[in-house]
Amino acid sequence: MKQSVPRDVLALFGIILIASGVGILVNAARHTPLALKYAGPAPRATRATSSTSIPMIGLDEMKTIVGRADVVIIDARPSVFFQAAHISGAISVPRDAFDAEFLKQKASLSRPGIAGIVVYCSGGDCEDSGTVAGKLQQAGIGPLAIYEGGWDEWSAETLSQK
Amino acid sequence: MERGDTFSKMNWKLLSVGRHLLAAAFLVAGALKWKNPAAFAESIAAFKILPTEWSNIVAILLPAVEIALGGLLLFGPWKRAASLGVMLASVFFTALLAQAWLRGMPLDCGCFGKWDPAAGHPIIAVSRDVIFAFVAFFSYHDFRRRPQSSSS
Repeated sequence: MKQSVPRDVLALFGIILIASGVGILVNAARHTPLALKYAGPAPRATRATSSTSIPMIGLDEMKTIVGRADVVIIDARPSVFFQAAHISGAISVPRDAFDAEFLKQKASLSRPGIAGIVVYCSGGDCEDSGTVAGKLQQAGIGPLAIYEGGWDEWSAETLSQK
Repeated sequence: MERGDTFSKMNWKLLSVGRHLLAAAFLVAGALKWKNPAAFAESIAAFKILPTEWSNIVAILLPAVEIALGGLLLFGPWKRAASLGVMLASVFFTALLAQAWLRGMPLDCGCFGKWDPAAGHPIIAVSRDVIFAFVAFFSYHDFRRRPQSSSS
């Protein structure tokens, strides 16, 4: 005999209710609970004061840099955006996973022969590039520059040329 | 009623394997999201489907529900209700990814973390969830035909 759908829906509702309650309790018990209301991306650390000394470069200069073997381009955006699209040759060192990714890339960032490292993020109000550049500077990695226009400007320029 | 009049033994075994894999997928996906709810909340906000202020609530609740559905589908009780939930969730994720793809948005539901082979590959991601939905649908259909005690 076929079982009733409404009964299954009721059971499912009960499962969701109980699981949700458990989820809320577990979140409350976390070392750093997630606030119930989303207030934007995770609070960024204030830019390291030393990052104010990191020079900004514009689109024209960035065009001369992309493709150079002696310059490392770093994408500071969350990895999901890097995977979707990024400046050719860039590597991903997201602000929100800096410690783990920097460990992996440290050797390549400090190898001999590097003329410079350029960091970018979305552009505009995005502070991730400054944060990542500041942390790199604190780690003794350099020389550094920040591509101020970021992915938004680069992708628009690339599209306009097609 | 004989199960064989609808599913041959081979089909039933295939369905059983598919159901176990589906349950495991939901368990893994839920666990990965539960591990880093802040990052998952940002993924939710990026889809721009819900009001952004809801992103944290969804990031807190959804992984727990996924783990519950995956666990119940695998171990019971309430496997029938769990398969219904998994089917509805898979349909929802399919629609979510498909609309993001059509809108040209970066596609990553954060489902399987950075090891997700479908990350950045919209066709694979959408196809995966469509397959999940079908497996869950046939599982639910199979459970409904069983005697009550065997599927609760």
